[in-house]
Amino acid sequence: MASNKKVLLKVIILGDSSVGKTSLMNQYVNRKFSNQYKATIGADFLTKEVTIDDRTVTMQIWDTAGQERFQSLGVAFYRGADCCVLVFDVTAPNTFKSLDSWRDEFLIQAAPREPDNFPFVLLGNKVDLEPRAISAKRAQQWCQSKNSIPYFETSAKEGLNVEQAFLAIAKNALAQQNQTVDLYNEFPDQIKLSNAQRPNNGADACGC
Amino acid sequence: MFVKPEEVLIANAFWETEETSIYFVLQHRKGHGSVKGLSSLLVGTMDSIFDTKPAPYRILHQTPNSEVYYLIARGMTKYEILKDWEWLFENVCETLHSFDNEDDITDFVNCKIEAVIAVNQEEVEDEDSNAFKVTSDKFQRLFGLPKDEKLVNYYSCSYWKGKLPRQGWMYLSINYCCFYAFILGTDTKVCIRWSEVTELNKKNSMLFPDSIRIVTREKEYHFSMFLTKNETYTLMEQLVDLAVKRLIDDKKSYREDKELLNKLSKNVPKKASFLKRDLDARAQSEAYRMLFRLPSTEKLDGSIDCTLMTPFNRKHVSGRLFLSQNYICFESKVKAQVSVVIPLRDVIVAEKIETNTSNQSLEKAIIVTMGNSLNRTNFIFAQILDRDFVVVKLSELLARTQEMQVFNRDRASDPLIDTEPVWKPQKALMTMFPLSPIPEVSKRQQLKAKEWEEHFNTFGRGVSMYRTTDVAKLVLGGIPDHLRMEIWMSFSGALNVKAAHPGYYRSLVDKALQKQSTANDEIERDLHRSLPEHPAFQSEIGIDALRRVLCAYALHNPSIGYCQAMNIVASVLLIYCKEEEAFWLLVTLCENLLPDYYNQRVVGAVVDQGILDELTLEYLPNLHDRLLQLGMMNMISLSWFLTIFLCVMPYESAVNVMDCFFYDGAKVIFQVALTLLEWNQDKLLQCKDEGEAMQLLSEYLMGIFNDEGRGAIRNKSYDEQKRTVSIQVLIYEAYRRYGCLSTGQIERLRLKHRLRVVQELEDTCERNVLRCVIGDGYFTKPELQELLGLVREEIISQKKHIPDKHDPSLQPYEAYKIDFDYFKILFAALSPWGKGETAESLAARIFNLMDSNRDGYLNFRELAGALGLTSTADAIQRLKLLYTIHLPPLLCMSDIESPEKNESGAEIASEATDFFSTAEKNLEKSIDSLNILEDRSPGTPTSSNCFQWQKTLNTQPSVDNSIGSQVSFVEGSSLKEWENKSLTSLRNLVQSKDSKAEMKGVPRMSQTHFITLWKTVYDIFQTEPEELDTYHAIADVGTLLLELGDVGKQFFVGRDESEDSLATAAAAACAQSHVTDEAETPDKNGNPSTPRTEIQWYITVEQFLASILNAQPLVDYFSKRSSISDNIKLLKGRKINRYNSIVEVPATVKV
Repeated sequence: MASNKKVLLKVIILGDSSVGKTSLMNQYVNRKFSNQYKATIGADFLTKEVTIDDRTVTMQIWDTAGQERFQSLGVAFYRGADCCVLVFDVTAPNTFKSLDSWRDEFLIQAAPREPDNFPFVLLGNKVDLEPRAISAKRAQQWCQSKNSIPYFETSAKEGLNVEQAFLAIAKNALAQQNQTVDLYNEFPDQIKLSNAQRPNNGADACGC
Repeated sequence: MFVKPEEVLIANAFWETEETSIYFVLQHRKGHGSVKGLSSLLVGTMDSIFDTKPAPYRILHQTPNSEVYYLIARGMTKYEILKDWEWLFENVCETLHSFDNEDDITDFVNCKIEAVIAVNQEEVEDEDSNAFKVTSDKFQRLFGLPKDEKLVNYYSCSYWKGKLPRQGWMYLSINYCCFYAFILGTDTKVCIRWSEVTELNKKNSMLFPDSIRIVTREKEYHFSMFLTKNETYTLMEQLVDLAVKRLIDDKKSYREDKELLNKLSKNVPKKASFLKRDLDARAQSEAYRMLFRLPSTEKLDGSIDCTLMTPFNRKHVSGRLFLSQNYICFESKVKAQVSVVIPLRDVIVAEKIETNTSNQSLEKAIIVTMGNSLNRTNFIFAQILDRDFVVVKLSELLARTQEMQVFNRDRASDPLIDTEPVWKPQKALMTMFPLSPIPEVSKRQQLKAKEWEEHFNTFGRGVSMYRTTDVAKLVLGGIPDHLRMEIWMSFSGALNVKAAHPGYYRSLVDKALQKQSTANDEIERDLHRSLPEHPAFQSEIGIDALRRVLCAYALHNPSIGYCQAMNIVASVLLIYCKEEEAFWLLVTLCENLLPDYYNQRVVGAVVDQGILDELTLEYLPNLHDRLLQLGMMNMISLSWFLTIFLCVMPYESAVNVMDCFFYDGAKVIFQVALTLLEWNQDKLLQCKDEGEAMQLLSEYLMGIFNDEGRGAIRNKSYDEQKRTVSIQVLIYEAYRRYGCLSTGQIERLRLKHRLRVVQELEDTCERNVLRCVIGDGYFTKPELQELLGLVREEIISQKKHIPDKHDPSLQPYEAYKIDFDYFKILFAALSPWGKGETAESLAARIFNLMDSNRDGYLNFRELAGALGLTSTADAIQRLKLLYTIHLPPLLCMSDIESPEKNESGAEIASEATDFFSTAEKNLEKSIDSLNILEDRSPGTPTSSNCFQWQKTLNTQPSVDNSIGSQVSFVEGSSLKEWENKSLTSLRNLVQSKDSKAEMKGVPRMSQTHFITLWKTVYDIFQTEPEELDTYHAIADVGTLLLELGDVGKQFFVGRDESEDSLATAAAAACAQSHVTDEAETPDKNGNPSTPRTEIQWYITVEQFLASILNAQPLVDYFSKRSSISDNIKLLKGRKINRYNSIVEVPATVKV
């Protein structure tokens, strides 16, 4: 089933304004943090090559505008996405509340074939900051209610957990792509299992 | 008194007939006069709640075979109405017998009555000629439109019905495009609402030669054979644009400009309608403002041919002089040769030059002398045919301007000079944060500055410079940094707006900084993410100024508030401009140059995206296909347009685009965008996916350099950076290749795409609504769609302002709200419970129950719930609803019994009004408590609530009747709280589908309430086909329940109420509101209020349900799913004459 073809994974990062989408993307791709990013207008994107299970994969990470009024203009960017990364700011409760609407809007606009099984990953960013408003438990509960979405607590500033999170994102995206490519998927259970395990990984890895 | 005939939906509800003749009915309102009883009181209350308060007498017109009644007269007294009644018999009835067609009779009667009214009414609107008014009346009658739907103009044309053209008249009004033809006994009516139009264009095809095509969601229409096709088309464009703009922003709705009446208009032909003249004037003013970039309040007064003396080349240029309240403008006949904008505020005097026989070119000349510090000069206009008139007009305008200036000066110098201001307006940031000079760059800047200096010397400076192609060339080359503010301000017109609002910015900032708002929060988050590479924005100085500008703008224009991208634009403005100037430039940019760009739905940017798409198709067809495949257009254009390239190019390059943009308007953006695409065409065609294409373009754009502004660049790696093209070359090429694009063309394209975009947004919005509501399970998707269609039409036609239509924080269905009046109509037409005599009161109670936020409106979801619960929900749910709406607080004692003291319905009515308005004042408070309640017991009411209802039942009658006294005010508030709490619980009960669990919490029902309930049941069944079984069943079940109630007495005694915590709370609230013990004080009207301890008759909801569910005929009835689709069609059919969607009614008339 493994092919030697070059694989391109399209990943979309969504979430409210100033939760750190651009920073996360840059931290992952360029391994540096800057407080000099402009607010993203429209969309921006970076690519990175990763190796997953001996396969070289190009990840195309799309960073989007976070302000509410741009939410419905995402159609163009969502097209053909393999994974959707939802980000919220653990110190700002409102950014957590709007996760539902980001997720719904994505599902409507991207209209994936199997909306229930489309891979999402949730990142609670800015864990280096105090005071926290959203506990890991609350975030995980939300994830459970949405078909066990993997959850990671990250800090784009300190590079905490970013690598792990994006690796999981890449794996999920790849799994999704295989699923859509191979219409007769032989191992549906395997994928489900890995999904269910990951939330724990995320929580364990997070030291704060 | 006769009134304009209007259709009456239900003739008998609430009215009692006194006299009838074959064509007329004389009625009085129930509850008026001596008649008492249940319904009379109810009517009184209903009237007051819904503030209708109709006159107590009326005359209806009806023909024997028609179901439709027309209200033709109203009277406050019987004497008055009898006079009208007699008049009808003396003057009208005789004639009616001569008609042999009933429709003709109705038409005749309606016509006659309208004529009578017309004679009686004073001539209010003398602006239109009589002939036009007759046509306008005819138009309203033909299409059943309300009186305020004024005709703008009408044209002879043909409508293509199928393949046959039908000759007739096209009527254009503010909201509709209508067509009427009457040929060979068949009449054809077309009525299209402008706001439904998705496309409007001229077409010339084999099938429909030389025609105008109108497309709506449902249909396509073709009209042809116009006498003046272009005029008609322009007017149609204008009207459809008005409608669409109203969809974008409710505040932009059309208002007549009465000032036009007083305007001394010399050249306007009188025969057109007032509205047409108004619209024409509007279009001309808009073109005028656009041409000279004047503030949006400027109205063109008139224009006249003349010549302008141009001192720079000692010539006389012929052109046209324009006059408006605050400006004199001139434009040469030869395009772009020269133009001038003279603000009257800078003019000292305008006078005639005495005729000098030796110099012919100075014949009939006027000299305008300026007193501006920048421009002490004068302008000489000559060859003005109507010179005297112009001079008089000019002096008038000047006098007014000078008055205003004195007034403004007084006002501006008045306030708060003694107090030290909290903030000082920031100077241009580039002066505070000077950049390390690069000798090469400074030299070029100096060189440029010199060129500009020379230009100023020759052509003048400031707003009123002679604008020629010379200045355009200078702008294209890039404006030197220190002149940017001045040039931007004068060419964009921002200076004019600023001059008109002295002191405004300061007061705005003072208010804005103290305000708490989401916009301010959003701004705060973005301040450091605007132009972080510039040192000014790494310091508080720049950040503070940016905060002030953005917050002030958010307050200045709340419909935009703050949109990301504005921060980037504003920060660049602040680098080159003083703070207040930056603010006014931002205002001009957001409101004139890029209309609707930054609003809640970013409509403007999406519109321009469509234009770029169309232009690409026209100029770069190959690339267009590829971009389409990649889905690129949407990705690139948002950031390009919203920030005018500021965030995709190095800003010191993009700022040169800004130079042209402020000089030439939005067309520059398209020119640059097309050039960029053209240059990258080959590479883009090679791209495999959108990512590659995006990368290609973004790298290319970031490589655009500006050697002349290089000193500004913070990026240390400037010299190593990949350089693609210089901004000067880009702009030059953009003008060379795409200079043919004109502002007018862009505006026309905007109109076209705006139509499409707005309708698409509406569609999306409706899809979202359906998605939210369909989950409730009452109706199928097509049913909901039809229902939503009705609601949308109603919203558009009622012209009421629905606030927060596009507030993204609200659920989508909140945008579709209806008031009780319309709910009543829908309920009567669509619900199986809506047919009986008690329908209106049922409707009122269901409305109250469903209106969860108590704002007097049902949103679409609540509406679907209200209708679904009575027509499609399962039997148990329906019965629960039936039970609930006969409980207090929905059904009060006062609704059931008639208090003896009241002599007329009207009195009760006013009392009830007091009650409701008092209650409303406390709304906010009670909502808080309501939330608390909801938090405590989410979803299902617990048994503890039971006591509370009982309490309400007891307090209700006494409070109702003691309104007016001081106590009642306080009482009203606590009562309202009770009411809200209980309503919430009842609503939850009714809506929950899980039946068993929460039944225990439902309050019991008293005997009086039960009797009313049972009356309702009879009433509902009355509309059903007579069936003996059913009636037996009703009677049996009724008797059974009455008996059960008696049994209940025994159990009630033993009940201990004080156990619940809520009961304690209730007691406390009671004490607070000074209700000592309602049990001891029978209310004023002598209604014995039941002491709590007394043994009561009651039934429970379980008993109620069980009893009814045992009777099969009743179960059958309450389980029957009735289709609303058919009813909606019926309702639509009936409404053709009242509201009008897109309907086409071919009707055969006997000749």
